Amino acid sequence: MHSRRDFLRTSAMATAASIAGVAGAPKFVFGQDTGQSGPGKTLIKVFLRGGADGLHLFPMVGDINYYNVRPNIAIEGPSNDANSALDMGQTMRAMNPNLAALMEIWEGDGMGHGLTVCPSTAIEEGNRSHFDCQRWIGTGQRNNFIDGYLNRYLQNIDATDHPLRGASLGKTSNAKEISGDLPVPSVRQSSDFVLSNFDLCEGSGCSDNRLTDTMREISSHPVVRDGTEGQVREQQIVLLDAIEEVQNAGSNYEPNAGGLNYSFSTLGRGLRLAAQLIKAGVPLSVASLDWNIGWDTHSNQIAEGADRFTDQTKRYHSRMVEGATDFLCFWRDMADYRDDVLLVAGTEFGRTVKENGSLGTDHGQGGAWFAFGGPARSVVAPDAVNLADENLLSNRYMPNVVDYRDMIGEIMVQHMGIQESMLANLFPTHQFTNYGLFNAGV
Amino acid sequence: MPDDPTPPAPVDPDPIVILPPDEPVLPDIPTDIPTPDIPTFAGIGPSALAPPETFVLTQAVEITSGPVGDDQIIQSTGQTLFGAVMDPGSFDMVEVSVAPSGRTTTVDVSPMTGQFATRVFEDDFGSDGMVTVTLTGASSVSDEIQPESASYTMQRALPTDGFVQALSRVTYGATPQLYARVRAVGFDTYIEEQLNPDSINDSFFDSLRAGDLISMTSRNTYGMLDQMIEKSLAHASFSEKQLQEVMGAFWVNHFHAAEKDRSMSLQAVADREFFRENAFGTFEELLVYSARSPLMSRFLDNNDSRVGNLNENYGREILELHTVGVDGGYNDDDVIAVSRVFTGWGWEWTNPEESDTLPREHAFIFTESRHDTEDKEIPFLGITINGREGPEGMDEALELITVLSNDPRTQAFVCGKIVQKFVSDAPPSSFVSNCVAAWQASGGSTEAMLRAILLDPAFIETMSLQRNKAKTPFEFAASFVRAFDYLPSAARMEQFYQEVRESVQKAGFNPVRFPAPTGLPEVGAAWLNTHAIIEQYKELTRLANQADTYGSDLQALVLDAGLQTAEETAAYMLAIATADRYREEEYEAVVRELKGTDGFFEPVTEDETRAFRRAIAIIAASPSFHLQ
Repeated sequence: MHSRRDFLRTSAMATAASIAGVAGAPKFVFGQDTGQSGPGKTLIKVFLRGGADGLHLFPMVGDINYYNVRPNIAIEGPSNDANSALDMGQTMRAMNPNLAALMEIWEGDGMGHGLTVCPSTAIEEGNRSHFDCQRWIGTGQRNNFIDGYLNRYLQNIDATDHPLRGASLGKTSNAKEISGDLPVPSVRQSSDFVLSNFDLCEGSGCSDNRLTDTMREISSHPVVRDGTEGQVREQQIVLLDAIEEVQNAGSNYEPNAGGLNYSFSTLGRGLRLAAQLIKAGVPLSVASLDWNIGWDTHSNQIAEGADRFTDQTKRYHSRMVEGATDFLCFWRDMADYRDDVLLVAGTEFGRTVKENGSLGTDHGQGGAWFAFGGPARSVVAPDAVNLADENLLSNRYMPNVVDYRDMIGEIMVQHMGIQESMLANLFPTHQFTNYGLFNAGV
Repeated sequence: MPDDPTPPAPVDPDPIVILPPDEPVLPDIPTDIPTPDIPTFAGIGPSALAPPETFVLTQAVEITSGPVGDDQIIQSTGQTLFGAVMDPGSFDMVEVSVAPSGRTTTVDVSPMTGQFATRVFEDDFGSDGMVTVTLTGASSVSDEIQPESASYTMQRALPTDGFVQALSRVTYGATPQLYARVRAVGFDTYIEEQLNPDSINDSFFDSLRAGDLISMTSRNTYGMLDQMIEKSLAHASFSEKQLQEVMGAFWVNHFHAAEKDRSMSLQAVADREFFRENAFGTFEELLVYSARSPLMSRFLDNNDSRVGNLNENYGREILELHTVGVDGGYNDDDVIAVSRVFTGWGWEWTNPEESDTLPREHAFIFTESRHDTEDKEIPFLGITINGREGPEGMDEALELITVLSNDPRTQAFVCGKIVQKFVSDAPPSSFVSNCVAAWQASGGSTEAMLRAILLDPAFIETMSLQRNKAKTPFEFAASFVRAFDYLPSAARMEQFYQEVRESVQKAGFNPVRFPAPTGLPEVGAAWLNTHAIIEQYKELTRLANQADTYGSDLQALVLDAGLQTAEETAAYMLAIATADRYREEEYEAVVRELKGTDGFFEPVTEDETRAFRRAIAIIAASPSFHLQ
């Protein structure tokens, strides 16, 4: 276990070495004896905050109960109607028409890569509170006080030595899942991730930047400070290191995605930055992103008028389209990196199976998670049998069929290449079940 | 637009008051806070901003202000030492060496006043709590002049005057004037003043006409939300009613409701004003207001909830976020019962006939036909709310609000958040229980709860509770404006607030548009991420470049305080910006920027605007400035 102090010291020493231009400067490797991490693998974790309705993203069109409990908001099974669900070739599940861009991923690239859908996934301890569930999914158990599981991964398993081996991308804050004792940067976008000040610049292009030089001098002062003061200093060092690396990766980036480009949403910014860093050779191991479009649909989950499920003047719809297109853009953009880059997206809970009194749904349990890239192939994971009351949790919620820790755990083993025994480090209270969803090459 | 306001004249530092040492008072330190093994400082030490106006020198080089009493006591957290040489014509510098730390430095002597400043830092003390500073007057130009030395051995004591908390938590940060004010009246009196906002003369702030920042037209429903933040920044920066502003911001965030589109901006403004004006009110009246607010009803969909067709959003969040907290012991059945109690509570649009000229106004309504008139058993509260028909149906929710307000779980949860705001991100249990006791004794008066928290001796005597919270972006920006004495002219007022507001929003702090019902995090650590930091530093160091444009004239303030050297000036600026808690490396960086590349800082004879601008930028990006 590496403490903040270790990190700060290492960081300050590494900095001193790079300033001095020492060839072969000593490398400080984290968790060096585990040697668990596969070479150059990346895990992109996308959080759908607000409790996305899994039954709406991947409607259970093969179950009559679905239409009985959602008389107004259930999506029709696949047909020629543009408002009907998209055919995934499955008996029970189909795809929300606004996610049409994901169909290209579901259909696969002919090289075994595809879209894995876990339609009823949650954290078993879930209590229908947004904030508890987001936090506990982040920490990996019903516990508010421990580090995020991705932070523990960076501390104890990942052997990469780089300021951007873990980051929050596109967001304006760090998610719980990647926060912890080891500070990681959050970078909103590369284009303005610079810090200089007119009065503290000398030389062309502020080559002598006394603002950042002074910050580094102060924050890497040899007397290590405890508490919040120490945290501010660490964050400053993390910031200054990240600025250098992001600038090295360049500020202009055009995806290679068959004419698609990333949106300027939180998700689009994050995916663009992830692609840019990966292509620039940054050894990004884990990244935390958000896809927030107003998932907390207590009311008016559908539009008025003929295009109830696709009316693009409704933001819920247009932003679903935007996000699905961002995912497709990333899928295409990463064509040459698809073996090494896996993206997994999920939410804190799904919603009530029955619709409520205002054409919406309230907080529930199981929700839809999905993944593509790396060993993900086009399968639908185990699901609720159907929506009859007796198959639901408390007769009201989608059950926790595949716990998210089993999904992430399998990705960690199959994609990131860690040994199964190391999962206890990420999810200490969880007994791992292998559902065989991510068997590469099958 | 308001007339161009004149900044208030800086208050001269008070003469040193040395109080007789008291019996050492042992604070009622909570069990979870370690007691430092250092004696406490009795009374109020000398000003950290400037030396006394008059003094008599008996030595060639001498400290004129700093250590107190026969024991030569100075603050364990660091103390600025002001001094003077008898003959500034000979001695233009003082070499300083500190034992046992071995630190050495050289400071300038003002050629006009003969004064200089240096500082003992927290790290300078030996393990015995002693420090020896040797000052050697010397000449940088002539070998002929014989150096002369004086040595001072000083002893540390914990400062317990409360100034650091007054300047860090009770307010949005120090200003030169506030520093003097708190010194003049003392901590307890200052708190009492602040708890009685009606007694505070706020005529200067009133003259700024901050209300004009919000333009109430139908075409401005989006901009109004930005202007609301700007008005709050004006209050935080310039009003004397600081505690009211801090507490009002707490309540509006506790009862957070976001604008879903642009139709309820006026209600958002009204709610913000209510929580400011009633910041010290009782919890129950605040909760009733929040429950009736059309903005809240719309945000959490209560207006969509009706008998037989429930929407559980508000029913859940009033429990989880506003009252008993997520660990309050309720389950899904309780959420449903509470939602049923609130059926019929909603809002209506009251001025549709004026929609071309005025923003929409809304009002609370109770709709009998939507109300569930059955009895509601709420198991976790152990009560049944009797169902009522007709207009009395509305009273069910009022009855429930009273029960929730008197529930110890609500009191512990809300007090925990208040303690977290004022005392520590990890709220010490003793403060929470004092707050709960004050709640129960006063019927939920915020004023009583704050008095219990802020006037607990442990609040000002426990070192680990000081400067241990990171500022939110809003607090960061307001404290910047205050510390560096910005005051734009009327003509530049709008542009100024816009720039400050953008610094706050770009860092991710965007009240009223924040979509999660939790409100924005009060835990300072939540804002310690590289995105928030880079945005704040970018925007506010840019404001540092515009110090002269926006009315910051630190050069005049410093000269008025009788200070002339870079070291004196750095000590002055940092004392205000950090409540006098800063590090040697920060101080040295500020001194260096004040002196500039030529090494000279001459505020008496030269325009040093650029030097002050550089110093402001460096302080803004200093770790100590990030703390409160």
